[in-house]
Amino acid sequence: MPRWGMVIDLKRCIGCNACTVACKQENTTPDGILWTKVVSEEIGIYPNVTRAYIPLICNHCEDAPCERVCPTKATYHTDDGIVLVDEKKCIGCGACVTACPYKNRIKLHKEQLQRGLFKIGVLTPFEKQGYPRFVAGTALKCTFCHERVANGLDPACVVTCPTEARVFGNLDDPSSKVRRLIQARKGYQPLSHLNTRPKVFYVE
Amino acid sequence: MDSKVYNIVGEEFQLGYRHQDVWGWKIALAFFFGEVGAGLFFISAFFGFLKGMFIGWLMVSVCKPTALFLHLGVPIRFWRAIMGLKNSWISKGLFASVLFTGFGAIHMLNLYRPFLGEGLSELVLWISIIACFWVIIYLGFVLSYSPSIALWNSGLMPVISLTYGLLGGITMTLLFGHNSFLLDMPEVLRMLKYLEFGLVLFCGVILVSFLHGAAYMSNAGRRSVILLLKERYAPWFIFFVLIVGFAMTGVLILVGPVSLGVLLAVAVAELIGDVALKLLLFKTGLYEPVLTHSHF
Repeated sequence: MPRWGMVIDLKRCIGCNACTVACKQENTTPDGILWTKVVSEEIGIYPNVTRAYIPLICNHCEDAPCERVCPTKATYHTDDGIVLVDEKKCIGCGACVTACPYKNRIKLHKEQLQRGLFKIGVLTPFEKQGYPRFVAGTALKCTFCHERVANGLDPACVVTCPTEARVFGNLDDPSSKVRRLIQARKGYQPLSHLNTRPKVFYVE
Repeated sequence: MDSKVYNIVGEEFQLGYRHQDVWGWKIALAFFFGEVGAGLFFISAFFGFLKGMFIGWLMVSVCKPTALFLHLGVPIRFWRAIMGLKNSWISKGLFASVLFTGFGAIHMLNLYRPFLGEGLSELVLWISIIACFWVIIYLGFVLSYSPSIALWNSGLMPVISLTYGLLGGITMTLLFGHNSFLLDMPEVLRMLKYLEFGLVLFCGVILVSFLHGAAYMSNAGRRSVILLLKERYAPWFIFFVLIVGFAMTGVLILVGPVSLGVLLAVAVAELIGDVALKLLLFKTGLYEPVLTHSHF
């Protein structure tokens, strides 16, 4: 069984947010819900200043705090290591949202499903076909596009990235690109001191 | 810890500290009712003070769930919250709350009109007391269990819950009991007054230790403490938690006469301090920037 993970190359990311848009298109996430996004950081002091872009996504942690605190066991690990939420079990207590150190959990409010992406209270056909999968009041998170992955495809954000800054693969396979990148370029995990053992690595 | 100073950011696409915004006043009220109600039951049960026990039981079994239901995204599925007993402190707390509601009610009924034998009534009393104690402290564990928010991730959080719970319990017992069972027990009244003053002092020490620990544990913890003591929330923290919650409560309970007016003022001051602290803990909870050690 593979153990899916991702490597994000910060040197390659140009901050175009194509991944953000691809994720919204793939998953029809409602207004205000972003499962991945690119934040920026200004480094240095004028005139020696630069801007770095940091793509953020759920880290699908091995020891996920969001899973640990969930009182209903709605958050679970699949056999291949993807952390998912069973919306039929979630009660919307928000414990997972507060427990995720990366703030990659979002509670979905009813209004977000009603107002639509254009905020006029009318849903487009695209939203109408996508929203029934969501349950208002429950917690949402990135799924690593598990339906795509199950069919042998990469997640939408990975496929879309024009600079190939995101690489997806099996962390247990020594010959996989993710493993080779982590080893060659000393990949590190975000907030690794919290011991959540994220499966998303960054390389610089 | 990284030496770079980050800003607190909102939803904009920038790296920085982010506020937790999913738990607010409803959860703060639920925590408040849970701690104070269980504290009141705990103290009242010690003296067999039925009125106090009943009010405490109502706070835990009616007010707290009401606040929680208002908060839950899908309240109709609330019963599922008991499924994660192995890991989740919310589940453990819910289990304790259910035990407390059931056995607390049986204990009060038995006190009002005895129908249980001596051994059985002792057993019911002890189960309700243990469940009640559990209800007081689990709320602290709910917050301290997760590593995400440095301010909350402290071993002192359950101690704060316990201290505020007992403090609230004594305050309410004094308020409701001063013209009933405490009339015949002036020495108990005096003891409760001194106990309350001692707990106010202890609470102050714990709070200082808690803030000190948070400030030196991580940058996010330090940023939260700065928010509480120097920046946006400082006026609220200093006035409501320190002046009203500690100073006013301590002075009034120590030098004030035993009268309904004074005890009411003590209760209002102490409970305001309690609620304010809980609200402020939620308001100042910050997430660390995700890549604090990035150099590029």
